[in-house]
Amino acid sequence: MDDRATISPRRVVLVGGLVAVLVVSGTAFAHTFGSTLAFQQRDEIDVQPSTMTLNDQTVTVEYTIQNPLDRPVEVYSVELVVYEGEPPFADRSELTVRRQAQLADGDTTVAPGETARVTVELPIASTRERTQAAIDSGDAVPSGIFQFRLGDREFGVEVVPRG
Amino acid sequence: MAEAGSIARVFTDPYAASYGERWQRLLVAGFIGLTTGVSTAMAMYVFRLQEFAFGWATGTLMGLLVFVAGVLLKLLVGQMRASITAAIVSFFIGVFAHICLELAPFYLLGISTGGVVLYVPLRDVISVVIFFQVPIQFSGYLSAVVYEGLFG
Repeated sequence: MDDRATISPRRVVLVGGLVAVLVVSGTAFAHTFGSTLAFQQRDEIDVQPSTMTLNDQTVTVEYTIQNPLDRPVEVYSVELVVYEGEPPFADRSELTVRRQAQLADGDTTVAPGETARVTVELPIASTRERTQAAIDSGDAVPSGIFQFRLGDREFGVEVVPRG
Repeated sequence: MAEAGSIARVFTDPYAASYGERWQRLLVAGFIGLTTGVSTAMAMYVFRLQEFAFGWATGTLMGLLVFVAGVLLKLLVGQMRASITAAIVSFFIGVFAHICLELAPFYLLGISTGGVVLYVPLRDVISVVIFFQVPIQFSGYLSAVVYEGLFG
């Protein structure tokens, strides 16, 4: 039995080990908890359409994404359709083919507090004239879901125009 | 160096303080139990939410931290009854703190907690506590008891 009156190196190491356990778990926890809080506030990510242009056989829609959270979010895919008219959308009002599209510039990471632009290219579903007329008159409305990733968890942000 | 009967001894040399006066033993048990319990809860929170963690904060590392915390429960608190008290304090505080950490975002962000909203988070927490947190911590404690019994 070691002498209890003297402080042995072993005991110093043990107390240091306790501090180390506390510091390591605390650091890991602080970051994880911050990410959890950011994920709970993911509704605050702002996705707004900015421009829409008609190309030869495709429509290019540009979006601005504003990330007010503390963590970077990555947008990697989108399911978007350009409709004609106001929501609720009638049948046959789709101007583009409904599909899951990759972004034109690939996966985009939006840093915390930053704004990023993404472009989506969609093939047109009806005639070019009709699509051109709808874009010119302002009747063309994009609507869909952007797929985001925070940390390793994926979620969707809907961009549905107010009807 | 802290004197034999002082409070500072509890924090700088818990092993010796655990053989001291009754209030010293209780304070050592409470202090070590509290710190290891809180560390365990934080480590198991990261263990459960791996998708939000750092690259190095893997589940294995977190489990290892909890095991080490359990070992420290016995190696830092020398006297047997005080170490059992510390272990019990640590287990209960670990469970309670883990639940609090999981429910904190609800109250911090003002998310409503009515109805059955809390059932799923509590289910996740209690599953991890029963299957991972308490067993790992307890095996750490038992390993330290065996070690001390074998190597004195």
